[in-house]
Amino acid sequence: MKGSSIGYLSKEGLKNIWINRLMSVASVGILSACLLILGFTILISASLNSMMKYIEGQVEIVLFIRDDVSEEKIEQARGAFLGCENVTGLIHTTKQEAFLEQQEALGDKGYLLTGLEDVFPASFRITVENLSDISEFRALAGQLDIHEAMRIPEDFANTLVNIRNAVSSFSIVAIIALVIISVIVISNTIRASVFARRTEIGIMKQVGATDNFIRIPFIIEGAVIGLIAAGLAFGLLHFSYAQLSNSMGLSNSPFLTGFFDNMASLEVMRGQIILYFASGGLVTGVISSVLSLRSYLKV
Amino acid sequence: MIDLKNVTFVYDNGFTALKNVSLSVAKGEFVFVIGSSGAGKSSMLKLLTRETLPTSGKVVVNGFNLGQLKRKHLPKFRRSVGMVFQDFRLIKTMNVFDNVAFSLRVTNHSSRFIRTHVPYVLKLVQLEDKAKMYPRELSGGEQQRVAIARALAIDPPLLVADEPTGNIDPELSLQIVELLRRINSYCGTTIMMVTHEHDVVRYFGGRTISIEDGKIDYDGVINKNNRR
Repeated sequence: MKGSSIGYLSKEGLKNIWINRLMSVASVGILSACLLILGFTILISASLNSMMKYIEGQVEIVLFIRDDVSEEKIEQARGAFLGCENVTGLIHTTKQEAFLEQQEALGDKGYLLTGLEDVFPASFRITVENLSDISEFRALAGQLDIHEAMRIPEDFANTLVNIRNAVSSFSIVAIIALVIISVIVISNTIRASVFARRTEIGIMKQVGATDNFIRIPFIIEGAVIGLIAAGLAFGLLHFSYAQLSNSMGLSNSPFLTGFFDNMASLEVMRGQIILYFASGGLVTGVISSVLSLRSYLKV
Repeated sequence: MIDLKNVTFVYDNGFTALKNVSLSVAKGEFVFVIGSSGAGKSSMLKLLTRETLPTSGKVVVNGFNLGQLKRKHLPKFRRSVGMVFQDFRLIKTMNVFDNVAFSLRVTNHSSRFIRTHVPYVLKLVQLEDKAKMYPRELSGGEQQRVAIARALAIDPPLLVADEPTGNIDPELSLQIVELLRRINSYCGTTIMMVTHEHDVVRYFGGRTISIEDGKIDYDGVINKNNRR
């Protein structure tokens, strides 16, 4: 294809947008809305994941050490646990410290524990990166054999994993639904444009235009609509996400401020979001154009 | 140029439009095709432009065996056949120059060639002074001449005109046919003109194919009779 033809076809594509400006505006609006929801879905999903990770990091596995285990063996066990890939932190609490903790917890009734200094066991309080994958840790604990009991918040771990999976599944379903809606809407716009130019398309076919020559202006129309929508959606997302972050940061609710601390940063995810929006807008626009033209190219 | 051998065409609803039709048109000929409505003229044109395929038989146009023509070769074939329609099919939003240039742009000609070739073709149809006018500003006869110019612009060896005088005044009809005959003799373009206006055929005379009830019932030369 010659350069002059490419210039001519690009001009025709842009002209189409202007001729069908009402439908073009509607398409840009709806696609922007879809991309905006998509952006929020991505950011909220990332924030929830980050929050889940934070909560997981806060949950402790407690390993109560038997009284007969020597200090030397305890030190060896500490080194072995810290060498575990999933372990992010370990605090060793001696029998004495355990007693003091309990006494402190009872406050002014701490005197009730007098004479029980030797009752509370020493322990390891261990934090892990991923609560759903502690098989290596369990095996190591069994091998070291220093504990009389182990407290693992398994129900809580399972709940966290379920929530995270649900958020991921919801995000995938939402993204697929939004892409389908966008393709349908843009297809209708392009279809209106194709219908308005059916005589031209018929003449093009009759004088021997190739299918690609006919397609290109409509593909350009779809792509430009997609890119404008992507730009608009990113601007709106940037503005509204900043507003949301600010209002959460200023909230008195511990839950909201906790969520705020773990919110995904748009600054960090900017490149990723721009890439998603631009490719999403472009691909949606192009697919819609190709689908709309199919029946007209059969002649 | 055109070769139909034992062509039968049956529509999906079972109606047989052409029944075992055979005909040949040589290079450089001017042929009238006449027949009443529903006789099979339009079906024959659809076969000649490869809008549809015959139910049986063989259609060869400009050396292309249309029954075996692959989809990717269709544009190349269509560039060898110029089409003129009763309803002109001009693009209302384009002026005369752009309407003619359209077929050249579609077939990948350079802007430079378009700038020089379109005025030449417009001169051929005597519309060189109306290049900037829009279809709505032209008479029916002028619009048809623009359509002929558009078909001629890509220099096809064969021009098929489907009732080109059907939407214009009788006086202007003669001018249009006169123009087509001039193109035929000066440019050597083979022309097949479908019409139901028997007096136009009698006025100009020449080879005439009459189709009735899906069959060719006459194929011969009609003498010229310059009275209408």
